Amino acid sequence: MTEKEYNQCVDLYADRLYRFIVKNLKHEENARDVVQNSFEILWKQHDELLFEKARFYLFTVGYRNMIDFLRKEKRISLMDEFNEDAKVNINEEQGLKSILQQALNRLNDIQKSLIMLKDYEGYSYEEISEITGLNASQVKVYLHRARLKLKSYLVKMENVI
Amino acid sequence: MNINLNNYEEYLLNYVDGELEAEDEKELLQFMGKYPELEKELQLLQATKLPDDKMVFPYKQQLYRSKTPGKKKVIVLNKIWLGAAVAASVALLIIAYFSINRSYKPSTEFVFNHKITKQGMDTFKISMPLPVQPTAPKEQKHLAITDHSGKKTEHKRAIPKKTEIKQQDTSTILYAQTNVERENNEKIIPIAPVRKLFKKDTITMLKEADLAKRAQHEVEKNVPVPVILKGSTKGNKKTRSQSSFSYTKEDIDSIITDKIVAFQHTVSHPLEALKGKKIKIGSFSFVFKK
Repeated sequence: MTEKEYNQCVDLYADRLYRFIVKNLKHEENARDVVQNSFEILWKQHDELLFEKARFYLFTVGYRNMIDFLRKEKRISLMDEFNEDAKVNINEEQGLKSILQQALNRLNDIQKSLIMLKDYEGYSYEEISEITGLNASQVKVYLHRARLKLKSYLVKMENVI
Repeated sequence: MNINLNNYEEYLLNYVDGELEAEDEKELLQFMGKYPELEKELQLLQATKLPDDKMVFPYKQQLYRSKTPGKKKVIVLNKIWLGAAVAASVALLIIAYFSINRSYKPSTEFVFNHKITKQGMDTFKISMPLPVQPTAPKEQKHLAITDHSGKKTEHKRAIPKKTEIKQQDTSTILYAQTNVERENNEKIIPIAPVRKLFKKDTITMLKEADLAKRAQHEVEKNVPVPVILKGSTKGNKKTRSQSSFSYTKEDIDSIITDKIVAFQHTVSHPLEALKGKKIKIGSFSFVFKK
């Protein structure tokens, strides 16, 4: 990857990586650090990397870095559970988008990441598996469970409203 | 046909995730045709797909890189840097010189070199244009002032012979000088936040293209981007260190507005150690914002 292509990566992927990280970490400063670290590493490796692989590489590095942050905060949850205690605060004006966002926030960290990698970035189960280090079957199962939980929440909210 | 009422959900989920093979997708749609009540379920699952939600990373300018000599990497003023810089700068004051005209055209990059004797700053030499001051303060006579109408040969003379400026740097200086725009006798004022000087100091200003990018970013994102100068110093082993500092555009504007008559200015500096400090070099003095 050339220097020009690296800078193209900044234009193309910095916003997307930031969205992915900040929505998971919910902490702008930390998200900024993760994005900067990821690009720092990309820059160091850019001679060896193909431009076509850059986004995948960035998300992989960014994801691992983000998980480190979460682990440090000891708030990562690998348990397959839905946070039923989270306060429900929905009013009629809220659209599907905000309801979905609330539902997303009730998923555990891994599930949330998987959903975002799938829906925002369009990665396949296989690719998500490589990014996260989970195996493809786990990715599929976690994603399906997450999707069903989001669906349940939507149904619940539909009934509330 | 493998799809039935016991396993259709997995097919639906794979379908929503875009992971169904074409053949399976065809089968699923046929199956759905037989059970229209499942349509609502599919709609709900599709509603769980996150809609596009664009966000902007506000520090993109700090991510751009360049290997081209002269296009210096922009230093990211993050926590790590600050920590390192503060630790390294207990006895370090920082110096930068850059010339600027009133229309604030960051027209050049320039690298320059200066020398100092053990006695202090009185043999301070700068290979950059300095103001032609009819009533120049006494200290200025010690500076190697290059007249703004000077030619290349004069500039060359202004560069100390024993410096270790590379050929490339030298040409950069000449380029910078020949591209400085002036009107009549308008003075170009060096701005000098200062530290104790060492031999072989090198200060680099961002290139015009980089400044233009940053300015563009300011306009587009409405985010103030500091103009960053990178300074690297090479003193003796004990004092060797590297640091950087920044001016905001507002700093520069205010300096321009004041026409730099008094040679005293307030500038921003990221180093806590420098805040509130007043630093003088020759007739120039600078106060760092608290």
